[in-house]
Amino acid sequence: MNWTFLNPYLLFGLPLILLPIIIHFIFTRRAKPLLFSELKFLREAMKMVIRRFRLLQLLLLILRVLIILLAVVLVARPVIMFMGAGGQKQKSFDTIVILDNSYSMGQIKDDGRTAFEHGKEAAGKILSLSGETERIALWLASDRVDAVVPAFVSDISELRRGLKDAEQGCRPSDWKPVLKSACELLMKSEASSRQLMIISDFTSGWSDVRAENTGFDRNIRLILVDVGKDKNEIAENFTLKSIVCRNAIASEPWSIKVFTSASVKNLPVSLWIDGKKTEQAFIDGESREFLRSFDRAGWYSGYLQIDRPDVLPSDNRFYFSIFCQPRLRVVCVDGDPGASPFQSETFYLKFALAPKSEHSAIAPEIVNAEEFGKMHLEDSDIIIYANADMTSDSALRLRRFVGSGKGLIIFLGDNTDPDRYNSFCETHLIPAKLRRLVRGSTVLNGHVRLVDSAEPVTISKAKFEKYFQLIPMPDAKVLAEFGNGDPLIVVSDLPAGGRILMYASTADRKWNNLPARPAFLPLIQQMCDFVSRRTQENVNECKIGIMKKPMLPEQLPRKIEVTDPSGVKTEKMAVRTPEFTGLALEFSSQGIYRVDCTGDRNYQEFYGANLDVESGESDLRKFPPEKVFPGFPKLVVTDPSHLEEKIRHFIQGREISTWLVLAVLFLLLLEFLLAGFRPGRTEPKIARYMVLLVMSGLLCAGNAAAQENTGAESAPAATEFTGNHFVFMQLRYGSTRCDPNPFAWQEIKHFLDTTTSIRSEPEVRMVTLVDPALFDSAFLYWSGTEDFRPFTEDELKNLRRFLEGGGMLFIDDALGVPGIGFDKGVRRELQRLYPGKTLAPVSDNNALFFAFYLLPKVTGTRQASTHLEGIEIKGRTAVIYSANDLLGVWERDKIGNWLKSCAGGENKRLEAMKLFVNIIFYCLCDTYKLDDVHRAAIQEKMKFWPGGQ
Amino acid sequence: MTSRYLHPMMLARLASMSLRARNVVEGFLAGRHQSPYKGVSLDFAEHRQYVPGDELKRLDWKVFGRTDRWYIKQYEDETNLRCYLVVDTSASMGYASAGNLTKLEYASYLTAALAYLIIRQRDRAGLVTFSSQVDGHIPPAGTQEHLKTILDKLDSITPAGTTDIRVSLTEFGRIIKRRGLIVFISDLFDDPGAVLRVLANFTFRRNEVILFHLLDPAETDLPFSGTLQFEGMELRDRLTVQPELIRKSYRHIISDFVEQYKQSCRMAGIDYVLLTTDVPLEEGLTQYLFRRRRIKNR
Repeated sequence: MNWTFLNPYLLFGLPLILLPIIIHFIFTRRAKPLLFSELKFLREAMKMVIRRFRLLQLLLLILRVLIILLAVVLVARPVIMFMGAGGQKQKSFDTIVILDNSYSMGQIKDDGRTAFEHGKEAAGKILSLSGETERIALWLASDRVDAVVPAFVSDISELRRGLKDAEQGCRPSDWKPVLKSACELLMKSEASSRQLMIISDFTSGWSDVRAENTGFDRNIRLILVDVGKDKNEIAENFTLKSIVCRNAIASEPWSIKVFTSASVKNLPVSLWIDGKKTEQAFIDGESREFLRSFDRAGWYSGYLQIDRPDVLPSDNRFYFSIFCQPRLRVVCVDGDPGASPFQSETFYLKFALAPKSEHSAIAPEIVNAEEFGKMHLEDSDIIIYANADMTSDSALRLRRFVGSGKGLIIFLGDNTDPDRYNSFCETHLIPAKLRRLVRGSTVLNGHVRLVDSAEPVTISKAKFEKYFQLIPMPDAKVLAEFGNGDPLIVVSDLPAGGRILMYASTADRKWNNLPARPAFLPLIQQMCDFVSRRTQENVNECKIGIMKKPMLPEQLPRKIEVTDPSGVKTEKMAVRTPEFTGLALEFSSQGIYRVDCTGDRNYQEFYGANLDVESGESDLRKFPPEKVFPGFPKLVVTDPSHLEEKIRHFIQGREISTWLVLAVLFLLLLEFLLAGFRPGRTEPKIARYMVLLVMSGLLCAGNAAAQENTGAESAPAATEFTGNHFVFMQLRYGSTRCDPNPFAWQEIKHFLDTTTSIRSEPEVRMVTLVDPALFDSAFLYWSGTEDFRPFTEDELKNLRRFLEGGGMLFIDDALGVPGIGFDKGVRRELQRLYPGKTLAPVSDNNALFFAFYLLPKVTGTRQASTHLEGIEIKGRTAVIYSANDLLGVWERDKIGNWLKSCAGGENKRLEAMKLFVNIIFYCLCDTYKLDDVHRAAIQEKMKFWPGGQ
Repeated sequence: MTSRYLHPMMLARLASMSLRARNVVEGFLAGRHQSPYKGVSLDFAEHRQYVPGDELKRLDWKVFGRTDRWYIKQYEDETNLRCYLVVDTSASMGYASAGNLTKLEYASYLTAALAYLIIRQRDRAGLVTFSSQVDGHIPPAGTQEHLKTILDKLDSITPAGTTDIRVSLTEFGRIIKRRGLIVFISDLFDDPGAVLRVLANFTFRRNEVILFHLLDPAETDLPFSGTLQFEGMELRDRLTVQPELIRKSYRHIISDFVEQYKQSCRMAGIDYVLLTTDVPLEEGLTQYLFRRRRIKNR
């Protein structure tokens, strides 16, 4: 029988054994002197008693020594080895060794090697434990399992071979599915002892791992080998999160704006395109814009790189590919040239298309109807048919033009013959029927935005004297309309990709004064972008994994060849299933991928594949291994020096702690009884009871603690901080612009700290609608500027639960423009959230307006609406919607100036702040201000209210 | 029992032994009317023929009624009893536990009271003090002056010396010339066998012996606690022990000790009285008178 200890250092407590012996001797020294008449009777009495007494004392002493000895041995966790006769092991062992190969394992440790290399070394040591009765399976895991040796084998050479080839991957971590598979496999094993060994850096992917949802139980022994950094070391890691590219047109300056995951100071970043470093800059804050200009159209691939070395180098590069568009060639067919250029139909058009004649995204060509009839149209991208007569010949040419996937814009005017035009509706050339000419000055309603990434154009101040009343065809859409509902812009899409846009009035100033207004230029530019389907953003970057690009069946290429960053070519097929048609390409490593497609069209595309930084893998904060499956016994090893020994002892030995605890308790009881057995002692019995209780308690606690191997204080979890603090939760959802006002919260918190008694958590907490942390606070802030991916049913369900459980959702349109972008998306989602309810205006009597300040005005950086809108759930306004970018009023820049101006002037800024504070109070305190007890006080105040009631 | 009589400690306040003695005795005698020992007093001893000149109040009219002769009642004071008061003054008698007199003080007050009573009853009292040998000897006499001598001597004794009863009593035995009543007051911390043998000698020689065994309550109970180092007052030896451990067996031993004396005294015809220093002196007096009457009536 072999003995060994798991915590041998605790054996240094053995000298405590001497304590009772010392006490015993000290005790007997202190005797008070007393004169007595005759001692011979005392002596005689002693003689009778003393022998028994001495025996008792000795026994007690031995007992106490034994108790302390066993207690010390207990906390040192002794293990008996299962050696039978002849050293044969009597039991069989099955172990799964899981090596973390997520990309955070690329972090560089103090000796210059990565955590993954450390992990491989540790795995190598563990493999040496395999043998006849010990089988091992070797897996690599990140957010999925890459099994090196999937099933249990005894052959160590096979395991070693597999380990040697193991490489670190580029994926993030998610341990729940991995552990689930591992537990499933272990449950099927028939060995007498089952082990699970995890070699990881324990940084992310652990937070939702629980015994219930993975199938882990006490029958599986758990060994955690920590090869990451110590949790007290601060591992700072910089990453690039995303980029936004605008205006990538040849000869035009494009902007590439890069975003970092967290705010940084003075971070050197360089931009590399086509293998050459083109620019270098420092990032202060969260983003930085680079401006480049290229003459040639086509694909430009490269990366952005953080030039400062940090702990995890692999996330310091962001690969991208940008397709630089050539200039749009626009042919303007002038139907009414006029005597001089000023009088031509296309005079204003020309300037709108190419404001700067040299460097301009559009190269317009003005032709008249005759020239149009003769020219070749293959080189052009867009035709603008301005007030020109539609002959069947021209109609045919136009139809063929748009049939090949290009764009057509039709302006109407004097030369427009309604009947002639209407006759071509059937051929899908004309998106709307022309009914009659409408006269009279009519002002347009609102804003137009044709292209999602552009700013909306305000055309409300234009005056139209004449226009054609259009009846849109069934498959056409109206993108802008007059105040009386008549459409101004009607578009229709052709199956092959062509687009036709019809404008109900003239392109010059004959029928309307729009061309003279500043809105004309952006409108025309957007029209061109729209019909040519040219997106301003044409960055190709994606996460490592499978990239899906939906395409129309006609567009699918026959053959696809993918070249990965190291130059290896593979052939792929397009996917044609009922659920999905298009390309499904797998990108498994970082870098630029080239995709060559041959088919109806032969073309080439580039993609930049990047690490999934948004998964949080780059956040190297530690999740302490002791917290994995809390409450279950486990062995945690941070120092790999005696790894095999420790593991062997843990697995092959049996801890006898429980027996020891029982033994010690029994001995304690015995000691108690014997000590109380002394003749004459009455009062101290209570003290002895107490001592016994305390010692037993300490012993059990000590045993539990030794089992758990703690000694580490837990890292402060985010939820530990709340309690009586206000937590500002912000929604992260399917859009890249979830945080349009990132600096608002700091200002708000300062305001709350100084003006109110609310104590709040210092940082904003970003949550998604599937995050369980959603339910940790009652206040959820949702903001954005653009439309976004619709919520899944799960997300809507969670949101409903949140709201019905007492949470409050405050939505703030940071764009401040109704009907488009974020506003559109919000209304759509709220409709899906509560189909029976609608967003109703919040009345002035709502408790919201009394919650802290009295009746603040509804305003913001924009004044799109004079009232808030809300949805009531059980008498409480659970959803509040502000269309005015309410939080924009809080944003300041680094010097302290306000970043955004406030609608209505600076004196309205405080009102907007008050409104938001009221909203917070309303969320926290609900409708209590409506209670009668407050009514009198509020009415008093209202008497002196400047705004009146 | 203690309600009527003084606690011995109260006597210590009285300045002189004569006061103490008087206090005790007079008080005791005054309370005699309720005492059950009504018969124990200056009482009739025998008759004598009347001779003219005798006091007429001493005439026994009952006998005259019966026999028509005149007899005078003679009282005990005419019996001429010789009483030896033998007191142990060894060092062990100097022990006192809290709230009590030392055994020697108690013994002295008792002896003083007895001397007072005896001389008041017109008997003769003598005093012998001893430790390892006879230290002091005052032969019996019956005068008031003699009483004063005894009382003064009692006032002045201090406990000293070891206890050797056998030697002392043997010496005392040689000193006695006439027979009498021996009242022996000691803590008897000596070999019981030897003590009893020498006491038996006295009874053999036709003396009456009353043995007052005087102990301190602490010596019988051992009420101490903790770990104590006991130091003997006579031999100056030491013993460290925890009294709680040995209390039970100690009490057994003491009671055996007392019992041994009691039995042996009974068999030897010696009157044995156990007194502790917290018991009022009147008890001792009562016992004395009771036994004296019995002796007288034998």
